[in-house]
Amino acid sequence: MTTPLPVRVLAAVGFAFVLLPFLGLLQRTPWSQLPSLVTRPDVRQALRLSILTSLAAMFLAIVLGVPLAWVLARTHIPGRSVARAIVTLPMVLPPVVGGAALLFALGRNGLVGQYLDDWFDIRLPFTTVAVVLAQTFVSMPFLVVTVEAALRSTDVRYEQAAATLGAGRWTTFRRVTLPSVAPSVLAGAVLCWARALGEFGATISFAGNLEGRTETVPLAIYIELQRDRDAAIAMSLVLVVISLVVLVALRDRWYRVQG
Amino acid sequence: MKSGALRASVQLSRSTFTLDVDIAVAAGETVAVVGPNGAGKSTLLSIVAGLLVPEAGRIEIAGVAVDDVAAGIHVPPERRAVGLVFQDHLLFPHLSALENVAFGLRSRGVPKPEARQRAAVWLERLGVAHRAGARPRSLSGGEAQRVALARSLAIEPDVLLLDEPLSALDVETRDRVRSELRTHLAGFAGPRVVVTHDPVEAMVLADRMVVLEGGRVSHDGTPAELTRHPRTHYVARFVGLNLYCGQASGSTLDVDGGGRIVAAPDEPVEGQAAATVRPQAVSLHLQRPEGTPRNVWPGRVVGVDATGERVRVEVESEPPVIAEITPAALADLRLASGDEVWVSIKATDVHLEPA
Repeated sequence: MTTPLPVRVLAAVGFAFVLLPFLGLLQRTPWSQLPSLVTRPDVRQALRLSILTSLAAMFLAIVLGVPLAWVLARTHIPGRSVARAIVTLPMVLPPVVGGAALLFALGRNGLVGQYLDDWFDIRLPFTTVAVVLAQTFVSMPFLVVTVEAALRSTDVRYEQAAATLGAGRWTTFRRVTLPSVAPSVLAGAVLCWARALGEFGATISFAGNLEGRTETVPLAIYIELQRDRDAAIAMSLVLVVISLVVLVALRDRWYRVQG
Repeated sequence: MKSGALRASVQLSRSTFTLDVDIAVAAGETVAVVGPNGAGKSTLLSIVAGLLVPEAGRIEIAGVAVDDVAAGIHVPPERRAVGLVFQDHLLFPHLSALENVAFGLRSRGVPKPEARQRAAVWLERLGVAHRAGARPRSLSGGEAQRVALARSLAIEPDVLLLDEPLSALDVETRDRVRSELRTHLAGFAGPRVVVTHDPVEAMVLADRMVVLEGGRVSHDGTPAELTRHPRTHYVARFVGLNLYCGQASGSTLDVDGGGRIVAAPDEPVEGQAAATVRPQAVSLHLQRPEGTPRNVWPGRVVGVDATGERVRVEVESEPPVIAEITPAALADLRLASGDEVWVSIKATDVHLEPA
């Protein structure tokens, strides 16, 4: 079937709408200064911090999110639908609100934070750990939602087959359930990592903007936009390229697995 | 390998039926569990494997209770030695054939090299050693079936259960795999239970047939006994006979639900009785036949099934009847669903006996 004209026109407009800002960015890029800008110590520091924290957030989201998805998909605990709504809340909440909420919970005078301070001498806000926590908070739902959907659609009879072969619950989870949802865990992890990499609102309200400790690339870009526009553009470009490369490489892979 | 009998006496309510079954299978014996869809066949296997917990009853394997509701015993599936071969095999898609077979041994703590070695022996034994490295997706139906069987046998279970083992195969491979399966079953020393809805499969594989209808055992006997004395309509159809139950008086049977059949018994039969007629003994005519047949009645064709060498024609009448005719006869009569026909059966072809 040939594509109807209105569909083609609207699709072209939609694509242009997404593409245009990137073209604007490329057009303003100071190409000749790019190498020196990207290697500038403060820019390198922000990039390094962003990559490390986003990977840490992704790892944390996998470790906590996969079991959470399993419980939401497979158990019949009371209040499960409410629990599911709460887990996905950070997806729709303004990140700034999430950051403020983290501060009230884990800040020095927060619900839990005061005890962390009193008992263990741990103060989370305005640390690199706080950056990771903020990123995990906003990005984990992407992983949970993806993995939960996959777990719901898997055939539990494979797990029954594993049980009749003598596999206990943990062995079955590790050797049968997890491999069967591996493509979805990967897809969810990529979404989660991309969201963590771009995190701004929750980070700035929970972790602040301390150069070298909590100033990730999105924060640095925001600051530099007012001070040194070329540095902001260079960092933006680096983020765009990293994201594009990862999406192209991994999306192909996960479409192939699913389709 | 331990060998000992399987005894199961269990009850479990499901949405459409209540399973209430008492069966015993000796070591070295193959029992076919047959019955209509939704009769509880697969539920029974799941209970024996420990995947479902019965509401009441007791299951004993080689003298040891694995389920005893009254005593609060339920051994989980991973700790009972029951091999279950699933209908669609359920080979783990991300593991090779060899790794699938080694899975059970690995789960039971056998070190990886030894598990793989023993798995290879099982693949060899079942004639699929050349497919050891293949993923399940690339196996043919027959190969997948053998790998699934190897996987269940590799854990050296006390009991072997097979759920519709041949139904996932196409018609051509089914015949070959069926006779292979018979050989492989013979090599397993413990009790074997095969759930099937295929009469040929049941007759070929089983020493004894247990018929489940509506969650209860309606029949328990050798295939020959079942064929000779079908007690329910399902069994009669299963073994390919017309069965009529009713009130007999001398040589005449008034069929429950309408109609009358005349037989030629050696001695008069009185009261509750059943008559069986082989479908090959039923003749079909386009006009009312003249001549000697004592049983002649009109009906309407409701189904023509020409899968085998013979054609089965289902006729709605009082009483209803299934006739088996040759393709040549079908061509002469040009029968199709909806056609009016006359049925005739000689009294000497009606087997009448007290129920």
